[in-house]
Amino acid sequence: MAFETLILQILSMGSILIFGVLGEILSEKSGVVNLAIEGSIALGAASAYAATIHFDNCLIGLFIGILSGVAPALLLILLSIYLPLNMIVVGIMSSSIFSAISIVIGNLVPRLPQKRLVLLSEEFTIYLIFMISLMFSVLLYIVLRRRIGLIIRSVGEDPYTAFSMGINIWKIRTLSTLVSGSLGGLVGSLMILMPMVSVIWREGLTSGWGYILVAITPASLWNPLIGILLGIFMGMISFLSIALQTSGLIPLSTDLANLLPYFLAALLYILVRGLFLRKLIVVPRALAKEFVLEERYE
Amino acid sequence: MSLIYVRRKSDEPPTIKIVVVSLVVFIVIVFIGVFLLMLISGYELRDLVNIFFDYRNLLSPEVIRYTMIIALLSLALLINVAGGFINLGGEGLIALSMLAFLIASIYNLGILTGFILSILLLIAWASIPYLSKIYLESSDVLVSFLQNFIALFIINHIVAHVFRGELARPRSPPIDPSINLHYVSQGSILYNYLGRVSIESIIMLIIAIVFLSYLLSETKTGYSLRLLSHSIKTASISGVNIPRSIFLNLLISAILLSFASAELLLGGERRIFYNENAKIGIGSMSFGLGYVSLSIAILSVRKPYISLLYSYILALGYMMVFLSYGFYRLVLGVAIVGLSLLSVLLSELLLRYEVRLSWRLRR
Repeated sequence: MAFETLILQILSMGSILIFGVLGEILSEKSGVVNLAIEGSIALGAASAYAATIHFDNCLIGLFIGILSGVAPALLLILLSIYLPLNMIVVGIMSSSIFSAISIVIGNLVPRLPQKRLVLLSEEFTIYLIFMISLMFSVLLYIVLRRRIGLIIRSVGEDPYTAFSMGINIWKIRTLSTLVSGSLGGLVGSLMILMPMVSVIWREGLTSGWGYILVAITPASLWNPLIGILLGIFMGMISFLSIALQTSGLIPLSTDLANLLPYFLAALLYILVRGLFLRKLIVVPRALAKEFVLEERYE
Repeated sequence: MSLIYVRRKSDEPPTIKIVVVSLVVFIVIVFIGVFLLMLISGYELRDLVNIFFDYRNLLSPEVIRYTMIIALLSLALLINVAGGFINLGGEGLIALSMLAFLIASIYNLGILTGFILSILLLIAWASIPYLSKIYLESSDVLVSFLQNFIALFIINHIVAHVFRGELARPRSPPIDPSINLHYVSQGSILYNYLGRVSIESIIMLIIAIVFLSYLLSETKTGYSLRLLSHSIKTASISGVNIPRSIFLNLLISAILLSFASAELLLGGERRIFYNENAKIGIGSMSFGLGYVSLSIAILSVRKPYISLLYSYILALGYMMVFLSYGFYRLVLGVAIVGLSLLSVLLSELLLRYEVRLSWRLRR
């Protein structure tokens, strides 16, 4: 495999994952662990595929993929933000239901090769999307340090104090989760449409990436700029497993290669979350904690 | 102007209310969901009603077998939940337990060694998320869930490369006939109902229900476990021996899980299949049972005997999954996980919270 091709592959997968990490950072900064992102990715991928085949236009596919990513997030918002149910269990539940729906949607159209998102050339498209993901990271970094960022962080740190200061907790958490869900939809769409990554949709194509994203987010210390490095690192890992198999340097079966991202995500999560983050103050204190007031007026 | 009124009820609802509410929600959510998905898959409503309401299906040996398996799994995860460990790694644990029986079969170690190997393996595997939750404050749900994928891929590697059977598709060799459980004989009057369930599993299930009900509500150990689930700090200050409680919790859970997976493996095809859906975190042998059992465990944590009822209902739901075909079988398998979790969440909401919707602005 040529070195340039390998770099392009890592950048293409890396930039997709950067969007996912950024979405998770945003929702977790407001205290919401968006495990429904797995459902957003699955639904985004299936919808983008079905729409691209149906309309024969990948931009429409991309748009519909992003929009559909919002649906699993909406269920999470209803049950965990507006109602006081455990957001981890709700996230997994939402992901399971929408993963099942995504299989139905993906099978609505004939299994044909879809168009890829190519503007001028494949290389140009990959660099362009990578630049957009970088710009988005920088934008989120700046936003989190402005007044709106302060509001989001205060909701994630201490929602009761923020509420007494007049901040609408439900609105902030809803908006950040919606953005996170749509970014999940974008991740799924790009996994179907992005050059170098794109394959024909099949059941379980995007499975597990949402959970991996949630597991690796603490390693970013909730900093979008570190999120860039993390996205590229996971992009490298996803291609490293393939490269290890094809090169024959290490005798690694397909199953063990498939295991690698999950193993690294779990290890990274336990080590970073448990051994390092406990001593730091970067963890949003109200992370994964539902906000319940006895009575609410809007 | 929209208004949602949410208030946590201070008193614990009575048992009868818990049973009725959660049963109704369970039936409505799971069955409507499964019915709708099966209708999409081409079944006629009349056929579905016939399948479900045929009394021969209601008490068929296969339904009773799955009821036993789900009940044993639920009780295994129930003790985890009671100790504050939301163990979503059931799928991986079932797969690893089956691996232990396969190893015992290949090396002619006997069924008892198979059980011991399975228990040790399960304790080691389940201790990772539990200990990391208690000592490192990481999410037990997330870690145990990721462990499913890891375990399923390990099993896939083993059945495809290490212990591969003689067949073209990757699957393990058959389990040795010496590794077996005892079943009701064909001449018995009970054969038409319990013909597919081992006598050991029935005895273990009865013991487990009585033992867990007593342990959790009447003993100091049960109190320690509940305290551990409430707050680790409080448990530590109160003099609870945390390592002992964790070990006991994992040990009981591993014993019950081993019986459930033995029933699944030895009472069925007697081979470990390649997990085609490992990327979704669903095993070919368990088919999502690890997840749905957790929802039953959460629902019946205060009254372990209720789990038997939920298990029976879910076993009927699973029959629907097995009766479907093609890719819809996968759809139903994935959907039933989400639907059963949704039913647990909604029951929790209805039982423990007062929720009112109003469009009247109050100032």
